[in-house]
Amino acid sequence: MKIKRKRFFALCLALLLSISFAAPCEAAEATQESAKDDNQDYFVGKLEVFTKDGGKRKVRAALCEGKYIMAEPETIASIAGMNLSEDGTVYEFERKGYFVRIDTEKETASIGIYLTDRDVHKLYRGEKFEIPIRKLEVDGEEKTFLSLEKTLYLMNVQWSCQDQCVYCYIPDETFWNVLADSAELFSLQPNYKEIFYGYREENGWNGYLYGLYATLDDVNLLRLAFGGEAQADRDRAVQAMLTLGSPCENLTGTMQEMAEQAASNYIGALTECAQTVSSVGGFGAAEAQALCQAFTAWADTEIPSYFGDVFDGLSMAAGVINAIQTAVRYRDWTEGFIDQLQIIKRLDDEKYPKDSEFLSDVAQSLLSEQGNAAGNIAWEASQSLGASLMDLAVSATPAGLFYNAYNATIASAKTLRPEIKNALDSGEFFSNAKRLCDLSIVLRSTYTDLLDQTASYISSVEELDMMRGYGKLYASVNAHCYDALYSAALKLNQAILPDATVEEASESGEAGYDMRDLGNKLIGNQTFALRFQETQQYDPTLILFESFDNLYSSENGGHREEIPPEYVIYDLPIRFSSNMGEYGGVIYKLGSDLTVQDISLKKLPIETPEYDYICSFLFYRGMLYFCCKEAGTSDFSCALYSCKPDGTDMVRLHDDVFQFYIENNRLYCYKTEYLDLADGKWKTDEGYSDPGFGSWWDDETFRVDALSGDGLRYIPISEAEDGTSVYGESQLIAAMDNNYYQIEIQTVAQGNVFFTYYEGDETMLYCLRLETRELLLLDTGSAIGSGTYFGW
Amino acid sequence: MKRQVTFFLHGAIALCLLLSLTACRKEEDETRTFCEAFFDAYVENDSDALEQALAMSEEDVQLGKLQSQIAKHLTVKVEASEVGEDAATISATITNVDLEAVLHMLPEQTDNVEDARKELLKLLEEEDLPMKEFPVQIELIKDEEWTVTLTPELSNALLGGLADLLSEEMEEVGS
Repeated sequence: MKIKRKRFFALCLALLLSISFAAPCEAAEATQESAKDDNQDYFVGKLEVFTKDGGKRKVRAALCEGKYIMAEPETIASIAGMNLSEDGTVYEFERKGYFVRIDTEKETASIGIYLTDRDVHKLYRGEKFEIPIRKLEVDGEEKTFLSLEKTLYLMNVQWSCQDQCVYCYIPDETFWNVLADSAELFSLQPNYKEIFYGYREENGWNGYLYGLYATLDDVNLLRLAFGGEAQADRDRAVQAMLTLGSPCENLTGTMQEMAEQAASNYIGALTECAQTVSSVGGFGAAEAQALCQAFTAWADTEIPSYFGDVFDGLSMAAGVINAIQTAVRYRDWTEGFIDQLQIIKRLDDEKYPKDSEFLSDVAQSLLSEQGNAAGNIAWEASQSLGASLMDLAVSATPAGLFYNAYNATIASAKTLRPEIKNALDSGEFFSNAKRLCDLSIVLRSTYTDLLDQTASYISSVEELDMMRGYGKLYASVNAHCYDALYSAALKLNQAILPDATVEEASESGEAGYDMRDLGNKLIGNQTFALRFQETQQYDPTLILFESFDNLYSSENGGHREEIPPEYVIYDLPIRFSSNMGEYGGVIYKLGSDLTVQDISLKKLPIETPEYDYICSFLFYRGMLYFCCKEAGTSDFSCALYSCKPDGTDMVRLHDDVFQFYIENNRLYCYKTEYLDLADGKWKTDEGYSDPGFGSWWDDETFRVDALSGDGLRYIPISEAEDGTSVYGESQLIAAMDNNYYQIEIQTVAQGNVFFTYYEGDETMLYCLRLETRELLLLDTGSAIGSGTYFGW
Repeated sequence: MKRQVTFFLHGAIALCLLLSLTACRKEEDETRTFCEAFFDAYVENDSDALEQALAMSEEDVQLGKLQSQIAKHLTVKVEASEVGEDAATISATITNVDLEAVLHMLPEQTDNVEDARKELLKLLEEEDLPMKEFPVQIELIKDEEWTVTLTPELSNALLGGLADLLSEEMEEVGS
């Protein structure tokens, strides 16, 4: 009779709370997410992120002080697509030569690029990036956490936030990545040896040749080249520069395709990103479009209003992005001439004042004559465009005009720029190669000076653009030099082998030149020019300030949204208040200390602030929540409290609560009403879902439950690709002759399941070792009060 | 009396001529002195003096290591000069190392620029090197002070024939 009364009471409680009467059953798991005493202002949960390579996934992240999102270095490295290495207290993240080093002792970051394996060049030397760092406890271990947003900011990552997910865009290649390849670019620089002798290694000439190069390196070559300003020299210099305005003669057809193919290995593939995004389950074209819009410059392309009628969502985004990417590549060809003249016009290198003045004058006059050439070509091209549906993407946007302009450029160049024709037809390829080689040496000097000065203290996209201009011009000059040399060598081969076809002549080594090597260097330089050009879209992500003033930005190419704190989800399953719980490696229980074999249980060292005793508790995020009550099983008063685990900062939270549960940082005790642990306010959950009645415990990888009625069962849990939990086949791990409410799981800690059980008037406290399935009876008692081991 | 007058006139003319010649000689001496000072500055790698003599910026007159080593072997013999009001041409013979011959003295097995640079620096420290004479016309311009115009010819001589060497190379490959 006594038992029946107890069961009835239990059922009433269950109905009242819509939770298991078996609770207090689910003890708090303190180790996984709780903090040390001095770090109680955070919790470790999950953050859903999307990256092109990794897809949509949940990563571990911490929310500190209710607003700062932090993550472990390994997590951030995986999001940003960077390699991570650790040296003492310093973490280094590296991607394609660009690195971010974070000193966890100094809590500062430094940034630079690897010019070679050992040669490092520091960037942003004027900035001191302070990165918040915390040591947080995870799974009983202390882990280092870094500010997620600030670290991603330094890593040139863009991100947007939508539907509880952070969509991250990692630039395939930024200007810094290209700069990090400078050693390769320098290896593609033409030299006098190639121009004068090809690759002949004649005995007795090595010392002479290298000595000559050493001497040439030592003196101001430009002064030699243009010294005296003889008219012939001027003419040749003009021709050499005019050559820059035309596409490389030999870089057409297959070679051009190879250059573009080579460049595409480095160039960002936004279209691919859009397609990947669209393939994510539950992710619509509208989101893909929004994502793409954030990360591209297509807002600048003045998309016609009727565009949306033809294309929709993703196809539109992908189409336009594709057109833009293509156009950007070809714009390099059509506008390169003007760009190059602009650069040369600005060439006021103090090292070469007279030469710079001369070059600048020439460039200025050419610019005034040719300044509108590209515009003319684009206009001509636009007149011949068809208006078919498929052509719309490229024909109706300014970007598309550039795309189409390229073909017209080839045909129109000779008509619109007679000087180019003359330069090309003059046959003085060697002369041009020599002049271009001179120019290349000067530009290399300027380029490396910029690397030393401007790149070290970069603070604006204009400065980046200037550096890009020099880098692009340097690569273009090299490409044209090899182009001229290739032509010259081809002519020599043809002269030596008059009966040979062009193909045969271009394969021949008769004149002493390795034609394939010249061609590869031509392609290599052209690839660099394209790479320089195409990194422009990411420039805004490279503008970094120690103040983090632009941490959040909606600028095209530098899109970074503030990640809402609520995106970090406390991803633990529901935790019910119970009579046992672990905190800081110690398993606590109500009542008194208990030690059996190697199992040591400590009495919860908190005295009740009110009423007669504590009846249930739960450790959660470094806090202790507990209920206390008057003695008795009916008509008793009770209250809910919180405090620090050492009993300080005691706060009375609510009347008339003797059991509760916490889910996603919300403490529930009366159905829809809950205490928001983030701000300490009581709120109403309109979407409240009853967790049901049961005695079970979920961990990340398994569930232990007593719902089947035949004892305790173990169910493995795995995570599906979409992040949902998949429950495996259950195994009976402790056979008990019971109704489910006879077993009350108190806590799962240190590889053990602690549960109570009663049979007749006898109550038991058991420990089940999960690894060995060994069942250990810890204590017994008689059923009094509520009829359970921890009876009231 | 007539003879006395004639004698006086002749004397006056002679004096004028003498004065004029003295002035010319003074101008010639001045340009020669300036010219010699310029070459001294070049040999000594005195950038302040070179800056003034060439009317160039300080950075522009900095000599490289090899260049200054070559310069140490340089001597000049001024042979004639034509001095105008604001310009002068001085015929001179510059004796300098024969760079082509020196380059041929480098070890044949050299296979990189850095090694060549080191070997060349070592070689240029020796005193007994093949020398070559470069006849040059040195152009001077006066704008308050005399300055030297760095013509390709002068550059060539100062660098032991480097410009000639390059021209020959260019011709060889058919430019």
